[in-house]
Amino acid sequence: MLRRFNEHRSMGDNLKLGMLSAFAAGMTNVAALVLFFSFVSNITGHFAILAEEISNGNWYQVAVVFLWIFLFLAGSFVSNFIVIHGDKRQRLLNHALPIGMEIMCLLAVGWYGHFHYRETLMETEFLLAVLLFAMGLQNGLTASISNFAVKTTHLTGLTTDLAIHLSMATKQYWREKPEVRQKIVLLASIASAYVAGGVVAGSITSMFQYKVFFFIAALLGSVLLYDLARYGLTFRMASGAAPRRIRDEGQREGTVLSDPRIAMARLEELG
Amino acid sequence: MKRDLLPLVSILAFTGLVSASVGVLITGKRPEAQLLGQWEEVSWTYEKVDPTSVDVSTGVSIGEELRNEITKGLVIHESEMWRFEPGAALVLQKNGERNDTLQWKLKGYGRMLELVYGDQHQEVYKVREVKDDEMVLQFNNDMIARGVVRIVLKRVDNA
Repeated sequence: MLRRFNEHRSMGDNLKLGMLSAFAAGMTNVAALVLFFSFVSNITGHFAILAEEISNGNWYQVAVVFLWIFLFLAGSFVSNFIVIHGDKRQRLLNHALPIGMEIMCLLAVGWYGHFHYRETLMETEFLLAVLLFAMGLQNGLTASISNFAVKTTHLTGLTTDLAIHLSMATKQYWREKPEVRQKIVLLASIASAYVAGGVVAGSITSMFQYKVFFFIAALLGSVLLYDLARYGLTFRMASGAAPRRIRDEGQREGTVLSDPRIAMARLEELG
Repeated sequence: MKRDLLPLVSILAFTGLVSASVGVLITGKRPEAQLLGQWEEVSWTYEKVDPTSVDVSTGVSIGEELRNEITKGLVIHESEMWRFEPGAALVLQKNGERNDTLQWKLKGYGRMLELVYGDQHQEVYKVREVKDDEMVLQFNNDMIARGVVRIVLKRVDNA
């Protein structure tokens, strides 16, 4: 789900990553709305609020909303920064780090909300800021590693893309292209997962309150565990040794796969 | 602009905007402080109304009888004076007598006013506008006529 990059990603990779992370984003957004009375995953609304508050001269609200938008931006910046500057031989680690940071943010909000939150405005503003940073991390990562094919925290662009691809499907020439059909399935699946996450959060947040963020963190943890369980040996690539699975494959085929770059390419072929 | 300068200009712009925002948060009057004090209800009007459910030609001002219907079951029912006290207590009064004491909290970016009963029942109002002498609240109403109810309060004195 996380390990592959850009054109090396398969439809299955994007579908799994897109659906799981969109489900988590939908849950986070609705949980924040119920508990803190503000959205945290869709930034367009915050830009509209920013413009409205500027026009009304409410500078306190302008400052709060601007900092929230900035933190979403900072989260996306940090994600892509890690992806493009990290050691290319440790791609899984680079891609897992932003998700790990997001999990820490969600756990922090859940822990503070459950044990310390006195519902003052300052606390609310701060917790929302942390959640916006977390959503920025997630969106930056999924967009970055999927070559902008997967965006999971807001649906404006996704709905536009879906509409464009659906209209393309009205012509037989495009309808027969597998990439167009796959894109429609991917976008519709992400949108459905986002809505499903929101519905689940809307149903359980009043019961579990701030502990709902622990569930979301666990869900994202499953994304990490999936890749670690499947490709955990890839971490050894940094030391120059090919994973055992690849070495075994190479011995069967009579090829030498000790070069990490060749081994990585082979591993990607194997999926 | 030279391409090499772009990152530097971006960093400077964001640093400036973030610093200014933090400065406003530190030095500006907090939204909770703006609400503290005694407020008197001045008017109840429909700001937005479903024209199929009410005759807009007769005006959108809400009379006492309709107001009682709309606010049936709400904490603000039959209140004329709202006193926001430090420590999150809201005292509602009518004819100088205490009607109810609730908890008040601001949520979101300081525009959502949450009122909490003793039994933890909640009501949420949008703080549309707060000036030194006037506050405008809104709430969505589904009774009698679907629409947004606008409550205007005038400051009587400071806390």
